[in-house]
Amino acid sequence: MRLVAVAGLFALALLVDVSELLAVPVAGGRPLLFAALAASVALRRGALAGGAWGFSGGVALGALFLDRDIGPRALAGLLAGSLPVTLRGWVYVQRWGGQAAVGALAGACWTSVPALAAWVRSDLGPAPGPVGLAIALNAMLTGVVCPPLGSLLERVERRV
Amino acid sequence: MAWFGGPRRVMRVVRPTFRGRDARETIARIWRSGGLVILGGIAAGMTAFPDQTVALFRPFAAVAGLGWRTGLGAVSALRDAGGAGMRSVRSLTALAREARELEQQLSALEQRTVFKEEKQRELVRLRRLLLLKDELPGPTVSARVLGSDPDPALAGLVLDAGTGDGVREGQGVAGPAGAVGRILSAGPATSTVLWLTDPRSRIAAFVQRSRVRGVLAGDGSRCVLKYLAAGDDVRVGDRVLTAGGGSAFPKGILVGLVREVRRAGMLLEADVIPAVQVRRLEEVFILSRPAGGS
Repeated sequence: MRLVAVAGLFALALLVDVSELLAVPVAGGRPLLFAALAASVALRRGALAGGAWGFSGGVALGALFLDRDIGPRALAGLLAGSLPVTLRGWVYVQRWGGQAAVGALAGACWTSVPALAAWVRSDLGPAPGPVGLAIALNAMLTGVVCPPLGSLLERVERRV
Repeated sequence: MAWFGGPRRVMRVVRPTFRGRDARETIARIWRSGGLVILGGIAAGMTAFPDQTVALFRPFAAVAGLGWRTGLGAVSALRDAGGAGMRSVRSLTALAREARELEQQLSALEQRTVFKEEKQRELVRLRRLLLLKDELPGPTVSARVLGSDPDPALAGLVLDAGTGDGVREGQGVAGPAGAVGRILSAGPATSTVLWLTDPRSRIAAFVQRSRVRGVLAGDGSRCVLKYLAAGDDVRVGDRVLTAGGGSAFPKGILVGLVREVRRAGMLLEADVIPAVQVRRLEEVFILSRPAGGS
C-alpha cells in the first residue's frame, strides 16, 4: 500500500513536470518535482531506492515521448536519484538547507544528462550558454521544492 | 528492500529455478550490491542503442500514451481552472479597486455639487442685493455678515467692512428684504450693526397705506411704532417704511408689517414685525449717508 501511495506521488510529480504547470513565466525554468522526490527517497532509503525510482521515471518519460532520449532520460533519473546522496557527508541533510542542496544536484542531473547526450550526438545547437542557464535555473528551483516534498513524502509514508 | 515488491515478486519466478537454495537472499544480495550498476548498464545500453530501444517500447507506447494523455488532460484542466480562478481573483481585486476609486470620485462630485448649489444660492442673493442697490439712492458699501458680537452690550451683527471702506457710525444697514439697523461702531476692517429691535434703536418711519408717521423703537425682541395719534388709521398688516428726512435711512425702505395696534395712554402704538430675519442674513448694504437720526 505504501508502495502504491509513493508511486502515485511520483506519477503526479511526473505529470506536473511534463505539463509545465509550475513553469516560471518570465525565466522559463521550472522545478523538477520528480527529481526532488527521487532525491528525497534517496535521503530516506538510500541511493539504490532513489536511483531505482529515478530510473523508472526516466523510462516512463521516454515511453511517453518515444524518441531517442529514452536511455539518457533513464540515466538522468538514475543519477538524480542516487548521486545527491554523496552530499550526505558535506551538508546537514536533516535541515532544509541541506535538503535544498541535494534537490539542486538532483535537478541538475535530471536536466543536464539529456542535454549532454544531445551534445554528444551533435544535436545540441551552438549555444551552450542558455542551456547552462536553464540547467542552473531548474536546479535552483528543484532545490527549493525538495524540502517540502521530502516532508510530504515522509507524511505519506507514515500515514499509509 | 522493497522496490516494486522487489525480491518477493522475483522470487515467485525464480524459486522454482534455484532448487535447494534460498533464492530470495541471493537476489536481494545481488540487488543490494549491484543494483545501481545493473540499472546504469541498462540505461547505458538504451543510450547506445536508441533505435532498438524505441522499437522495444513501441508496442507499449499506445497503452502508456493513453494513460499519459488522461493524466495530462487532468493536469491541464486543473491548470485552466486555476488560471480562471486567478483571473477571477484578479478581476475581483480590480473591481474592488475600481469601486473604491468610483466612491472617491462620487464623493468629490458630491462636494462639487454642494459647492455649486451654494454658489447658485449666493448668486440669487447677490442678484437681489443688486436690485436693492439699484433702488437705493446714494452710494452704498456692500459687506458680508461675519457673525454676531458675543458682547451683550454690543449685541448685533458683525460686518466685514470698516472705516477703511468708508463705513461710519450711525449709517443705515439694509438687507435684501428691508432695513436691518444702524452701524453702532466701526473699526478699521469690521463694524457692528445695531438691530432695529435693539432698545437703543430709534428711526423715523411711516405707514405706507395711510402715510401716518411715527417713531420706530426697538423693544428687545420686536419693534414698536410709537407716537401715533389716537385717530390715526393703522391696521394690522400695514407696511411700515422708513421716513428718511435726515435719519440713517432714505425714505421708502421696508421695515416690517404691523402685527398689533393698541392704545398707550392718549396715543396709539403698533407692534411691527421686522421684514428682515437677521439670523439668516449673509450680505448687506451699508448706506453711505451722513450719520444722523435718532
